[in-house]
Amino acid sequence: MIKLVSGDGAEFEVEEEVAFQSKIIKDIVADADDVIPLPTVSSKVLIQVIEYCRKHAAVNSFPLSPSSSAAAAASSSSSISYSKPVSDPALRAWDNEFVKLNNSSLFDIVIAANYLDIEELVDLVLETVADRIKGKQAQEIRRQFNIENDFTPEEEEALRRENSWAFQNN
Amino acid sequence: METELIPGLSDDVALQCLLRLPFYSISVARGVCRRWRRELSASSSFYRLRKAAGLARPVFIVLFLKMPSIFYYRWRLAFYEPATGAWGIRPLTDDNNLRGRQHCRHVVVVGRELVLVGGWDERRLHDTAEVNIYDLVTGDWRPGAPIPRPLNYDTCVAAGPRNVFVSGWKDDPSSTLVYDMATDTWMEYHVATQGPFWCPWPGFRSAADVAAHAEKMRYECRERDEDEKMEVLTWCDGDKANLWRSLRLSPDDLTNYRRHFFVFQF
Repeated sequence: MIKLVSGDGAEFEVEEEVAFQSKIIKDIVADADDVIPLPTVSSKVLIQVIEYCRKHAAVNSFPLSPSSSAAAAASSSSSISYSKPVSDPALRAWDNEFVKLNNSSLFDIVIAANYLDIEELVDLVLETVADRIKGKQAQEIRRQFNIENDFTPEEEEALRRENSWAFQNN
Repeated sequence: METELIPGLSDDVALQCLLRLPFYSISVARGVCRRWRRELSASSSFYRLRKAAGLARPVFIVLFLKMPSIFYYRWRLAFYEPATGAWGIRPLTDDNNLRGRQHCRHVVVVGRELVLVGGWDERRLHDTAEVNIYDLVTGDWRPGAPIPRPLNYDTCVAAGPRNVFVSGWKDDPSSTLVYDMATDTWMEYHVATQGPFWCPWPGFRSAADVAAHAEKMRYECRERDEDEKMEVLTWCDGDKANLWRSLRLSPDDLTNYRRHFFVFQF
């Protein structure tokens, strides 16, 4: 068991394979002790991150048949393709539920995941944020992400006219 | 201090989000605020980063003529992204900006830019020597350097990965000029002969085609993933009717001549 200490002093005991979803923790544990302080991560966020890691650790630890583990090794070694699509549909559905959060909670998670170096979680959140931008009009994007509109009305009118694609789906 | 790209996120994480936007969201995202507009401007490193991160996907482009009446016609641009099935249509021009209102007889795509060689003077009803360049992603127009010499009826315009090659000039049918996209200038193109060029049908390819092909050999093969190229080729050679269905266009929307197909990576 590994003990994680959040920024507000709460302690969380997690199994090694759960904590090792984070490459940073894996590195720390390799050459230090089993109590890991995470001063920049609040309890609320840490609970969510652990929940994610627990789910993914459980799924990833399923015994793989030799061929599929070889395929997984091949796909993970091949280049830097950003979105390794999570192959298991049940896990993907779980992920989709997991990211049904408001923007600021999502941002907290991506900051923590970035800090802890949990690549899959970072990808998942970045994809989610991009999904919330795409297909929206500029006004909705501003409202959603609290971005100030610093164009003059004339500029904005010109932009709107020249910019949009009609009839797109997705 | 500069405003944040997305309030609450560090700029590098926010940039990672923007890099994941699909082709059709970029031009809208540029209308969000000045910071985004600058970040996503044509000259920005954004597009290089996106490519380097392995996020580029093929996007298919169709340029076609919408002609509600014989006196009124407008070019339209349709895109289709096979990876997601997303598609969209926009006019190439509106009445305030007639740059795209021309014959589009010579039109090619270089990188992510649509290059229209030659324009149309609406009032005097004749061809002009203008060159207009349209950024397919940002939707911005920029003027290019005008055509230096008279075109012929059999002028051939071909695009390499970086530049445009034009052969078959009226005053000198044997010469080839290259339009340098980086500096917007016309230059003489001298073929660097590297042994005989293999061609199954002599005369089938114009000098411009050969030059463009040579440039492709120089850059593209090294850069592009072979699988991706296959995918694109298969699509291009395949049944065009499938494309119309994918784009949800009816044949009535399209006149039967002069449709232009392009594929580019975004």
